[in-house]
Amino acid sequence: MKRSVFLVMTLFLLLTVGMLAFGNPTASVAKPITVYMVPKFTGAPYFVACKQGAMQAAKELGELGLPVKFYFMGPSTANTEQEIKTITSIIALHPDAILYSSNDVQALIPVLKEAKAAGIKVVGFDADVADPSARDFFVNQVDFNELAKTLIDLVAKHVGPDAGVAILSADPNAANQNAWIAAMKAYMAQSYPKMHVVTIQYGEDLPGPSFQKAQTIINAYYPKAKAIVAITSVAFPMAAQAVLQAGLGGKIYVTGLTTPNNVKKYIKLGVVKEDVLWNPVDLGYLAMYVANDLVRNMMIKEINGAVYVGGGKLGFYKVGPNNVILLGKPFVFTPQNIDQFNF
Amino acid sequence: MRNIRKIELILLGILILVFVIMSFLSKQFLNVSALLQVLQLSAELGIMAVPMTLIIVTGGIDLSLASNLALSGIIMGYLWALFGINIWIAAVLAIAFAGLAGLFNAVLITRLDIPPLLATLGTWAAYRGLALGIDKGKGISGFPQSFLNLGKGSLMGIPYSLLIWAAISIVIYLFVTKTAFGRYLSAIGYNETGAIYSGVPVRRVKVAIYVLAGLLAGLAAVIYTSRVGAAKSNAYSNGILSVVAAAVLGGADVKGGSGTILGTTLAVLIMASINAGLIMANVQQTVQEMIIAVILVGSITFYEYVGRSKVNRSRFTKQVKDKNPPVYTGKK
Repeated sequence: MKRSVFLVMTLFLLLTVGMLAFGNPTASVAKPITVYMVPKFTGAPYFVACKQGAMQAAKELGELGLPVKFYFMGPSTANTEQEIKTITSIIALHPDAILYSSNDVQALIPVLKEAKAAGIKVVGFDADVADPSARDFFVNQVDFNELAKTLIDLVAKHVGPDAGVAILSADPNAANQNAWIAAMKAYMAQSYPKMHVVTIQYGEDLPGPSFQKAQTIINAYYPKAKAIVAITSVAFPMAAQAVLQAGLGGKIYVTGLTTPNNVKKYIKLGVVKEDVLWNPVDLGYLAMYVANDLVRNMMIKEINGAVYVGGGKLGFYKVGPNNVILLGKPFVFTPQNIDQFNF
Repeated sequence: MRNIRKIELILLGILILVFVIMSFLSKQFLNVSALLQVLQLSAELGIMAVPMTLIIVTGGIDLSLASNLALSGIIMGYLWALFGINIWIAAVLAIAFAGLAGLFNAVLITRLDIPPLLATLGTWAAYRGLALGIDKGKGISGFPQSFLNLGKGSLMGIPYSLLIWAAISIVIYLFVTKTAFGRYLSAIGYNETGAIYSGVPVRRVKVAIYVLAGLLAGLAAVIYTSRVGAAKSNAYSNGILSVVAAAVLGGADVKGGSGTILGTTLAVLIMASINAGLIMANVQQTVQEMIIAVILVGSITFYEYVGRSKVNRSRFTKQVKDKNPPVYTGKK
């Protein structure tokens, strides 16, 4: 009895030592890389969708023998100072890459340059900074002009080519929003000369202030403004809620940019007819692939003077001027198709 | 009255504890140069928290500081970009302007007798609105390298902004502890009417601290602008609550009478170290905010009920015993 126990124990011991000595069968796995994703703020479904995409890409890369340690860290609300602090602290950890979505066009440039100087690969997604030399690549979700055209065409279709438009934006320094506003104004002047912007309000990407600014638009600018274009994922549902509460559903046309789950309720109630966005899951996915390609120096090809980067299942993407990679075209969610999406 | 010595010792203990915990959570935390890089990001907060403490000691508050920072930063930027004024002269003019904005607060509070909370709530909105109105969200950048070096550079490994913060804290600490000024502040906070009758120049003292607060907000604006390389109308848009939180965690009593520069400075360091350490330990910021909230509420509760000055209390009870001995009236 005693002897058999001893025997089993010895065998077990030998087996363990053997396994340690000969190593595990997946020894061909590359050294893991560490990637941090720093969104503008963590608490929004939009950035959670970006995170999902990045995690999906990290998982795929892991299955290919290219493991990625992925972290998602950012301010809890849109706050430039806190985003700078977050990135500064992350630099101290020396990760291989940082993916950022910037709260401010200018204020993040010095800290991103610091990250680059520390040998970290820096890839932007969603919102860029003004200086392309502060980062390696920027993954742009959608062409600014295309997006402006989609939004303004919707307003023209539902309100008319002479509509007064109220814009509900994020922070006055937000790069994307300002670029979209400029593109919308330019497209209006070109295609609908009688359409005009009545007011631009800033809700700071916070639900409370966005709701108040939407009420300001309704109380002070309706009926001069018969359309609200809310160009942040936080402000759009708040604008819809304000219109709903004012009992002006159908009288004020509300559209804008947000994740479909944010406005499903208002589409069902008929307050919102269309929601415009791109696919944020794909955006996070592509950003993660670009980071991996850069760090591991792979899937970046030069063909006839143009550079292409690999985006996993999304295929290869051409790198445009200033190292910008364009994800795709805007997508319009309608009452017919919105139930197919869950993010 | 609070036992300030005790509070300072407790804060020092918390800071050491935070350092020990954070260095266990993340190996990178004790990397000195990285830590200095992170701490310098709190320099503006630390500089504004100094006058905030003095104001809270008098029983007042200045909510307009962060808006003043944004406005004076924008003014500096425009003086430089629009009028071609040398950036350093523009910086001095911006600090002077910020002092004027502080003087405006002081006039509202001392001449029109508007409670500080309401007066500075008004100017909080007004200064931020003015900054936004001038700038319209465009921001100004492209400052000369010599100016950007202020926010980037360091002396013997210590960033300039940290040195400026330390210098200001020490100078004001000495001024407040070595002159009668400090006692005037707590006298006003403890009992303003009493202070007036004791010959304390209450109005002049108040004007002095609100102007000082403005000037230091202007200095913080210069440091902030050179650090981020841009003058922005939304600078420190959520910052004022952190400034108040630092002063309160540092032992300043919002009811007036107590508070120290050392305590506030320790509090800023505690908050910055927790923030940096937890990011380095991959703890989400939502969790960090809860931890800071627990420390804040816990310490204030402690200050209110345990940290009260024993000396004062015993003297009070003794007086009661001496002057009003229980008298047996014989009634049933």
